[in-house]
Amino acid sequence: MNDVFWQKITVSAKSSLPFILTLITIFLSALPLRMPDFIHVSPALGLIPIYHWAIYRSNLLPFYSIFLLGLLQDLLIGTPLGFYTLIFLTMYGMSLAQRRFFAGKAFHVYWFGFSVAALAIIILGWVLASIWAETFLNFDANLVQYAVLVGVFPMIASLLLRLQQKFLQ
Amino acid sequence: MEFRRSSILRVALPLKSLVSRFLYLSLFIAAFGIMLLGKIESQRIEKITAELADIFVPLMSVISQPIDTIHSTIQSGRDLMSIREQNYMLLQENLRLKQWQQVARKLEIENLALQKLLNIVKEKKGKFISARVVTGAGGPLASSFLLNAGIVDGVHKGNIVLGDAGVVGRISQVAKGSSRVTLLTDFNSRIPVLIEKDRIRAIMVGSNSAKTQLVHFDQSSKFSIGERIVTSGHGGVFPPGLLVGMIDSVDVNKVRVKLSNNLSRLEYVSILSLEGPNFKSLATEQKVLNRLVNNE
Repeated sequence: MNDVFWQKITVSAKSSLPFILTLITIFLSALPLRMPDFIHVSPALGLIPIYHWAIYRSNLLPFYSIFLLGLLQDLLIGTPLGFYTLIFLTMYGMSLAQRRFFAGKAFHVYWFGFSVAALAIIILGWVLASIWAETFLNFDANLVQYAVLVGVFPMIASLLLRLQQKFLQ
Repeated sequence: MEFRRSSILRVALPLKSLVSRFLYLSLFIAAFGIMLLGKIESQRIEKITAELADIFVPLMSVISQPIDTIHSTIQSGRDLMSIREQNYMLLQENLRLKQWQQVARKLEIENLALQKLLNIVKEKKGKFISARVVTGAGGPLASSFLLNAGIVDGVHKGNIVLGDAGVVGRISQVAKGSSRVTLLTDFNSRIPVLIEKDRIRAIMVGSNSAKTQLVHFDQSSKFSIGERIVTSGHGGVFPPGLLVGMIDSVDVNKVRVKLSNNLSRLEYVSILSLEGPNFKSLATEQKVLNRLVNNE
């Protein structure tokens, strides 16, 4: 009885791991790092775990959880409600469509896949925000943000891979 | 048995993928709908957003604490290293400031006397509320911070937020225990400013990047790099004379401004809460207008 109970708890804890890790990444990405000239280029780190889990464990991070995570991102950083929800859902959908190709490939292929997807996402975000603002927004900062995002990808993704190998095998 | 199972799967699998596709599409449409609603019913959505964000402020407040501790430790280490030079610089500055104090006292007395002579109307005085910046990062598409002070602390929508070196932005959303300050760099931000020395009027607009831009100024006016820019007080929203930034570069018709505050480094800000409301609400204005029209 006791064993079954604990087993159930462990299974549910393990299956909620992708969601919790994505949640933590989003909270961390909204932290004020107090680094000079950082606020206009700080990346939406949530895109990395979303890409990762869409490829490796999409069953543990369903659509509606992506929706909620997007709303959370909007609330924290102050984008119009629904903006990052759309961005995250697009990222998830795109990665899900390509998951057969990228799953289990060498790390640099996996990284390249992210950099292509993220570029599309950054451009989409800029277009969406420009439509919202009814003016052409500055694009340069988006490029810097993109470079930062792709730059920190290996760090976060390798951590996620390691955690996945340890807990979700 | 096996045959039956596979026939169920044959129906169930495509159905499942259809349902999941439908779910994806409907969530996509829902997100789009929320965005559209925010554009149409902006006031109501803003209120909901503020209330929801309020839930996460205590958490963000706690988890952002270690970063501030690390920063202050590094800073105190640096201070300790350069303590001799700093001391020397401060002594020099102190001397200069003492001279300034003399001048300022003289000017203050003169100013008071002149104000009395002209029977000038006194400016409204406000109180300062200090608040901590609990979320900072927004990327290029969002220029706002969440602060851990809200309605209960006396913060109102539209209040002005000051950093350690001048204006930071205005309160755009306020909930019970938190508020959101829209920064001067936000593309929605437009404030009337003056070039302090030449008294040239202009409007400063944000562009979601580190520097802001001046527009609507007299085309014949000349700007030089490094001139101080202050709020002009036109329109009655910002009190006059608050430091905003300095002219950073002048191209043909493009004057860029470097803000006096380093927005990325702000830990604490002061919210200037004015005594009475600055404006009559739109509704009262509308009533007055209606009355005027009806009387005619």
